[in-house]
Amino acid sequence: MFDWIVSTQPYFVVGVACSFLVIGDNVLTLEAAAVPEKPAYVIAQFPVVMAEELQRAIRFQTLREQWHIERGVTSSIQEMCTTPAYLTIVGMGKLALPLLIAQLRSEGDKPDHWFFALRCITGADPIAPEDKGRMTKMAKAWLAWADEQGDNVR
Amino acid sequence: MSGSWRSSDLPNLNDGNHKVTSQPSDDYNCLAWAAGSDEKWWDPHPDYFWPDGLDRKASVEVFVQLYQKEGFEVCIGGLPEEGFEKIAIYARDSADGKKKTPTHAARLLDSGEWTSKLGPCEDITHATVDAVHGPRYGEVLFYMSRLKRDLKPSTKS
Repeated sequence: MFDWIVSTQPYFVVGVACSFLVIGDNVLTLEAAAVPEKPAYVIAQFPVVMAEELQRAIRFQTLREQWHIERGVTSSIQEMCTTPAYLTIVGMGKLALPLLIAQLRSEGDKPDHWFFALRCITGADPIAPEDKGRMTKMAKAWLAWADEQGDNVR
Repeated sequence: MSGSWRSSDLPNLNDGNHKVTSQPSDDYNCLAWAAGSDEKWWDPHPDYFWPDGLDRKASVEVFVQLYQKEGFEVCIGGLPEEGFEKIAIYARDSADGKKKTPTHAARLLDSGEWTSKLGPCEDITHATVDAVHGPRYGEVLFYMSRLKRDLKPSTKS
């Protein structure tokens, strides 16, 4: 589901998320009424945790769209990756890592310029010298790196 | 066919002075495209292609050296000359206004028009170099030329 959320258009994700949150509240209300002796926070735990992930995913997609507008026609990586939206993604730190990897995976052979953010957040440098500038190979190198990290980036 | 860029980025472009010639792509950028390559994104950032031995720095001096490595030399003017390829290097003022920062490169076509890759957006042909002047690219700072060689279609890997 996480991959699906990241790879879908933000407007659609917003719709799904809103439905989910409403459903979550309804579930909480109904369950709380049916089993009054059960502490509400236990029932609420699952929807609240999911909501945070969804909200982060929605935030990421919104920033991605904003970044595409901000970067315009520049071909400078320095300029492209220091726009407010892109820096906000970088500023999310390791919380952004699963989103970045899932986004990169969803882009297949048309990867976007997530390498700057990935390098900033992780400090890793998995791109072979001969692959520098070859976008698809750069993406593959980062996805292989992510696979090696396992749950640390999921 | 209209492009995917914002008109405010390139305010001089209008329906009559350019033509979109490709789909948007992140596979290559203007620096590569000006030199006749569509395989790599050329940039001083350590993750991207940059020729060995060249400072990873976006300065006018380094950009001259970048294209010298491709056989170009600084020349006067952007008019077509038999047997020569020409490119235009664009720059805008740095934030402190004390120097020029290179921003873009375009290549002269045999037709006398220019071709530009617009960042991650499309390739276009534009009638004149100043068609892409504006807040993003600034203005043409200088031209470079080299003896013409075949610009063979490259194979993407």
